[in-house]
Amino acid sequence: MEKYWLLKDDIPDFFEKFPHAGYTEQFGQPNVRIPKEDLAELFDFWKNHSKYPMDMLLDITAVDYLSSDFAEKPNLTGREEDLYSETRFDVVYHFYSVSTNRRIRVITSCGGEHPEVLSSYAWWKAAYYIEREVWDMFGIKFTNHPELRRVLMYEEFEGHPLRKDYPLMGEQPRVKLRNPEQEND
Amino acid sequence: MSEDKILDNVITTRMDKFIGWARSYSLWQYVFGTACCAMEFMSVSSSHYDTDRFGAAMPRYSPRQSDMLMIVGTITHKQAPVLRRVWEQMAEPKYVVAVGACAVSGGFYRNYAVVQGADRVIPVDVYVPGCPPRPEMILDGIMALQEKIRNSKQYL
Repeated sequence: MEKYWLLKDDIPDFFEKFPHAGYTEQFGQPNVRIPKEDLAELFDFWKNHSKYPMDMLLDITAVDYLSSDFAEKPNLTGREEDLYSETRFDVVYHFYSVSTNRRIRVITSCGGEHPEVLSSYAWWKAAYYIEREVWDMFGIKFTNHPELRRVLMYEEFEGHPLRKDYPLMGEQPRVKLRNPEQEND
Repeated sequence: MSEDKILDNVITTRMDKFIGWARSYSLWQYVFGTACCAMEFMSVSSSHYDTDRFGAAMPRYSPRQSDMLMIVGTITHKQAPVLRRVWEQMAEPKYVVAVGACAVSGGFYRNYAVVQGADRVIPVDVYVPGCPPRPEMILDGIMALQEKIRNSKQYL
């Protein structure tokens, strides 16, 4: 079978540079977990990697682990105080090296009252819309993003619908009709 | 001319009925296709099921040229003002058909994004349920609308 994912044995230089990086393997795919403070260094590392230069950002998404029984987050049980837990959200990056046909998955945690991580827009321009979507759906702020505003929902929408504490059948009042003469764009 | 000849050549009717008859067979539709029901609608409007048989053959691509709005698919909250604007642009008399479960009631989308029925935005004349509706059901909806037009007061 052809290889698509970079497993632990393929990237010893990564674990040399990030000795505290966590690593698990599921379904033959790697999960590299690093603290969010190391993100800038990690983006630099993968963007300019000598053997597998990750020249393509496939996707960024997030996971809300509030009230989950996920083994890696045993402390989150949906209590009131877990809303602002520092490890509530996982932000998941998928990078792809076009020239060598290899992929790597990187996971980092964030949380608190205003969860934020560093934007990868300075490294990959593709992050522009992806990070706007993650901000829209999960309310995770990407610092240094040039224009972080909603992309799927409308501006009047309150809250972030993919968060676990957003009401399941929560509806919001209908959007007001806009006057085309007063619109700018 | 004798009276018999006149009765042979003249039909008497009411104004409302006559105009209603004319209007019901001259429906110009604007298809507001937003989701998978629009795929079903393509087969309805093309030769196999053939809405032309009911005088509703011509999908127009401007709401200003049409008098029958077909809402074919899910209406999201972000889209609701667009639908409202399209409806307002149509000239009177105008009729609205909601096709598919989503346009009728929101369907199985009971969430933050979807309007629970197009009738929360604009008045709807005929509801065609189904997910998606069979072509026969859409044709039945058109015939129900024709029935409604024929039996309603016509404003000139």
